[in-house]
Amino acid sequence: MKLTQFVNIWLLFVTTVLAVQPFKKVWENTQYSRVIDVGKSFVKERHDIQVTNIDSEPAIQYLFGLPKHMSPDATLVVAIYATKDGKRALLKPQKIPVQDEDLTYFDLKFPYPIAPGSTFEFILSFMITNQMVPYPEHIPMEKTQVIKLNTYAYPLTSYDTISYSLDIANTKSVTELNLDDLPILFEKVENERSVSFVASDLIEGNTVYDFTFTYPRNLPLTYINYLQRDLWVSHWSNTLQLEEYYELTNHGAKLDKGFSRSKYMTESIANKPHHAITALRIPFDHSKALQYDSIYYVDKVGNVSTSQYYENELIIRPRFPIFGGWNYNFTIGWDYKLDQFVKQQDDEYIITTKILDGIQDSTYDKVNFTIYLPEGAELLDYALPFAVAEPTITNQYSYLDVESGHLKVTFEFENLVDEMKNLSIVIRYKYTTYAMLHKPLHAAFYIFLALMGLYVLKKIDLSIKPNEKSDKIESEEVEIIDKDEKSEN
Amino acid sequence: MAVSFDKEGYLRVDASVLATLRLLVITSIAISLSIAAIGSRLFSVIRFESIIHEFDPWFNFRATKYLVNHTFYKFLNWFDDKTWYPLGRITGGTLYPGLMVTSAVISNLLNKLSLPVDIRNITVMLAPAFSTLTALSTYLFTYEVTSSTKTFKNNKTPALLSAAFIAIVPGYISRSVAGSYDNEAIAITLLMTTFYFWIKSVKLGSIFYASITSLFYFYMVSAWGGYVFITNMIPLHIFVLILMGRFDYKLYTSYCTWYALGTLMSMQIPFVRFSPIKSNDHISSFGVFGLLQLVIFANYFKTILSPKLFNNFMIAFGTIILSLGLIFLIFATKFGWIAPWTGRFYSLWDTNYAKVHIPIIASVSEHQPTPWSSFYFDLNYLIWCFPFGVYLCFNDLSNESIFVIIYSVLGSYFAGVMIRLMLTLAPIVCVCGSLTIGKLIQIYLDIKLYLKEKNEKKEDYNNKENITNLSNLISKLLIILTMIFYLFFYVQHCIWVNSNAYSSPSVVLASKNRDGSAAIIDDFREAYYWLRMNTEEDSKVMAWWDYGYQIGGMADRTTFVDNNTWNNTHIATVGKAMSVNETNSEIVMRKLGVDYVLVIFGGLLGYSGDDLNKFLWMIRISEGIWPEEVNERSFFTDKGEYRIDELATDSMKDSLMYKMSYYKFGEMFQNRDPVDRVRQQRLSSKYANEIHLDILEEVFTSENWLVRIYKLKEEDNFGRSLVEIGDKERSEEGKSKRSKRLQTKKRPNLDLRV
Amino acid sequence: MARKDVKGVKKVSVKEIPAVEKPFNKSTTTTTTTTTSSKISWYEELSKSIDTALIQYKKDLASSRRLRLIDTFLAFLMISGIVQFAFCILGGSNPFNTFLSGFGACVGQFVLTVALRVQSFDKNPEIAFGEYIFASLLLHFVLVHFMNQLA
Repeated sequence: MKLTQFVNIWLLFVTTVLAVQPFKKVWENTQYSRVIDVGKSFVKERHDIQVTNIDSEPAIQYLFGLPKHMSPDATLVVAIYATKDGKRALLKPQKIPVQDEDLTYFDLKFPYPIAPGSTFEFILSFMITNQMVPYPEHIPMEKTQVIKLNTYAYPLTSYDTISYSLDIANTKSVTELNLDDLPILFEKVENERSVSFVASDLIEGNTVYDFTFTYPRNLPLTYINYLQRDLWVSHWSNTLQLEEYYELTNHGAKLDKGFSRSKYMTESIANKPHHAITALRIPFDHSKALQYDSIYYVDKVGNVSTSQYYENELIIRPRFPIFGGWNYNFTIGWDYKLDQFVKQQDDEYIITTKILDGIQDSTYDKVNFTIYLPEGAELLDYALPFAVAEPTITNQYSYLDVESGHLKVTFEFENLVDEMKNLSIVIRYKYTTYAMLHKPLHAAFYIFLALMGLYVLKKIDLSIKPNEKSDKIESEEVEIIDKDEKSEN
Repeated sequence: MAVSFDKEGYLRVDASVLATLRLLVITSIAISLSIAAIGSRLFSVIRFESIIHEFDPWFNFRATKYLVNHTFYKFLNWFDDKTWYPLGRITGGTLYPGLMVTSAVISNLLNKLSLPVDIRNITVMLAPAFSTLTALSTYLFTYEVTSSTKTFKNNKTPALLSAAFIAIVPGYISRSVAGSYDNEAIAITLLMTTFYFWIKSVKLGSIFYASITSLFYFYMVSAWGGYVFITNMIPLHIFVLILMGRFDYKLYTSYCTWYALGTLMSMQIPFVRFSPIKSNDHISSFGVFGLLQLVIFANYFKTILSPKLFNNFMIAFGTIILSLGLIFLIFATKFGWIAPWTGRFYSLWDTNYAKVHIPIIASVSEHQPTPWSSFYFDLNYLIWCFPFGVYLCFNDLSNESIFVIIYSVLGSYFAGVMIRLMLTLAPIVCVCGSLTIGKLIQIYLDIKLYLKEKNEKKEDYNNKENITNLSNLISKLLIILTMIFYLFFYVQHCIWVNSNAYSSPSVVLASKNRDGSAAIIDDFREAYYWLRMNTEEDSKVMAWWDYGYQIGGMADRTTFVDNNTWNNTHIATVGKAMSVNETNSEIVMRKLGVDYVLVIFGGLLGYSGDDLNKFLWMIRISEGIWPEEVNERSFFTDKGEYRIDELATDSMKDSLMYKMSYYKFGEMFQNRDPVDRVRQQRLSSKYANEIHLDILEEVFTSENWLVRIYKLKEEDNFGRSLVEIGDKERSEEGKSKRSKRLQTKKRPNLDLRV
Repeated sequence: MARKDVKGVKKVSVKEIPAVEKPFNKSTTTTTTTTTSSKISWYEELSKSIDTALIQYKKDLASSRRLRLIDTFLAFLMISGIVQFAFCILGGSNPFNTFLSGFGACVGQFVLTVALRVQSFDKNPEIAFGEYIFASLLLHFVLVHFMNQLA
């Protein structure tokens, strides 16, 4: 994965590709200001674009691209524009199947056609995970981690850009690695919290160049390879039980030599910002009251006694500091009162829950989101903020299930970041009163049956084994037999 | 009416009501005892968590998980390639499957009842659950013993007392707290149940009860190696009874049924297999079996022949049989038909045997002889009630009492030999103690007698008698109060011992913060989990055998040696790798295929059970195989001290164990002198910083330095030895340091010039 | 106290001994031979005692059909056991567990049957017989399981 990425980037870097399909230059980017936010462990990009229709006809379609190697990592690609009454509205760009070696194209449809000569302003925003690479890969424990980020230099559109600026936000110092190779010069301005590069000239469409820079970032690159998020719905106890199993890796810089505890302690690394993960913070969702005494934090060898929670966040300390390349698997969970999530109408229920309880500043590669509906429930409908594959629906035999087991609905998400924790999933299901009563009735019946069985067994026991239990009755018979025998003799 | 007042105003209660009441009382006593038994075993779960304790339980837990996840046949044929690398272990054939099967059955049963309880919780709670059954079987046992005696006829007091005693006796709790998922956890229950059915079958001469005895014997064999205790107790009982001239057909019926069925059943366990006919542990039971055939044969003659004739006949008969038997025994041992007397067997008789001949057995702390204090510690005041209980059995020499006497004698002896066998003594001490207390209650607390006397007194009132009665009452009261005090004290002591001595999981250590609040030292799991998360799945971890099961269970990595000490040479090899210098150790480790080395170091925390304290055993064991390369004497200074500071011997300083323990230990203290808090020795700062390690690289050390993990470095590409490279680097480093110092000195001059 | 001890023992033995002798004594009350043994040699004495025993045994057999049945079965078991043992010595013991289960069946069944025999004149032989069947079933269940197990 890594290697191919590098190769790809290298290819991009070497070949100045003009292979972008010669789309018609309908637009002109009159102003293009791009902000790369590197404050987190994933890249957030925001493009403020003002376009002018330079064609003779009104136009509605705007095409832009993303480097092909980045596009699988790109997530939540949206465009925002201001409506006439000042509100913000969302546009969803669609991927279009255009064959291209380097770029994946997105098609953005404006809300209304733009007349020739008029302008339209919108914001393009997306996140790209998996982009930050420690540079160098191996560093001593006490050294500050430097991150290398490889991105593209100019707007990836086929339209000419009049004025272009590139801001790298949330870092103070940026070292460019390949500024000299770029055809259009950048002017570098260092601000308090960001570094800006302003293009000195007009950028023609389809100018694809790589831009690589490094910046210090002494924080871990928390990466969750896999998250199993289970929600157990119980109507009887009115609880929504949450359990999350994490497989976590720090993608930060690796240690050049082995881990030295003495250095770790004498430099008191645990108490300062560092590229090792010493604690994970999970902000709680304020709108829902959770049961604090139900919080648990375990891993495969038992309870981890180092979690703390405050009013608004859970802080969990892993068993050991997680340096670059180290892994840590763990499970956390807690309970909610169910009625905060569920709305009922007759036999139908609608449950709305968050898709994540994000660990601060982390990337999720694969998320297995499972909701366990009570036995006998029936899934009617679901809604998600983004498109995913159909959920798999199976049954899970669990506590006090009498027949088929809980209804298990599993969604698979990919490539999420913790900032998506506010997105929710809505599930509509049917759960009849009969199904609700079915279980206790069944259990009661079985207990009754067991007691009856015991009673019957006790009865049988007396009649079958006279040998051991009732000597007296037996002995009389035996005496009779004895007599018979004697008489025979 | 069930309850009524008769004409004279006395309360009359119907017999059926009384019976129900009695049942109710006994049931409630049983329930309270169960609660007491379980409750007193839960300290560790409440204080720490539901976790498997110690060392062996981790293996049992792992095996149980294997059984639950695979089929039973797969379990029996389980070849474990994750231990004893590269040999592996035929685990399925070298374990007692009873414990695992028990929990697997419980787990499956609960699953069927749609209660999918986590297997870990089942294993953790198995021992407490079985302890309640132990109380029940002890009750039955004592009742069976006492019900036939004159003194306690129809008196359930001793039986109930014994159940109460065994429920909380520390000697038993030590092996049955929640999380102590060991064979002994269920074995004591089975031991008492087997004995109960045994004395019952002897009493009745019933084939049925003897069959039940053999069934429980089979369960016991499947669960614990200590079944040999039963195998020898029962024949001894019979033998003594025969010697006492108590032979009757009941003995024959019960013993022969038990022996025939029990022996064949025990051979079903793969690990036991043919040892009932080959090993000497079982020879006595076989001998008594043969003897009984002869005795019943002789007994037949006894009924026919005159005493004189019979006597002569017996002498001739006996001589022939005895000589034949002896000759067979000698030949069989000589030709190797029956196993030679094993080391563990010898160490039972000669407590010094192990220390001299088999260090690996002696190195286990629970194989040490029992100190006197621990008898009191584990049994409290029952230990001095015990002899009196035995005396009461002598008073009432029934077959059952003789069994109790034999058990007491054997149990006491074995408990004195090995500290772990205190466990087998505990039940009989409880039984005998209950006889004593029961007797005391009978004498001094008999209300019936008192009421009767009072009735009589009404009729003829006498002043003089009153005084004697009063003194009588006072003396009775005194004794009763003392007894009650001791009973209270017993409970208090048991709870105290359970809470303080036997409830530590030893995987997790309790400590205190500076402000006095409770803290947990979790270094073992920290390190094991690090191994599990951050090493290749097939990496091989070398550690002393104590930690083998834990590494297998928690870190899920391949080990070289573990607590199933079946291969002494392999253990000695690991011991050698730890105790020789780096160059030689590297050779051993490369040959073994070591990836990681794990040591336990308590010097920073003051944890005395660390590897440096066990180091002498490693040296001794490897010296047994390689006397030229490892020499115990060379690890002691000329004065005979075990030193680890600068005055340590060269062998000590060069040994891998020493270096792994103190590597970078000096850095922690910066410029102060580091102190080893276990051995109370001070290393000078300069010396401590010079301790270096060339063939290994520190990859992890836990928070309190308890566990340190090293990785064996890759071999050098140019074929240089790693030690050489290290030496060279060090000398260069020394030079550069000097030059650096010169530079820093120069700098002011430069500044001045500018 | 010591006296009490003796008492206890006596009491028990008085109780128990009749039970022991019952199976054999039932019909042999008068046949105890009284011999003047001082003059005759050791060997003669021995053979004489065996003779007496044999005569008594034949008498017992003749008197009870049940005994005849049991003793025939015992003889069969013994012969079967001896044959198997001889085969083991001559023909080799491999597979050992098969030999063991065969031989064990003979020995086990033999002792069980003897146990039944000594109880057969007990108060209620039906109980003894029921127990005997229970134990025999158990025995053979175990043996069948053992027979084909690879060592």
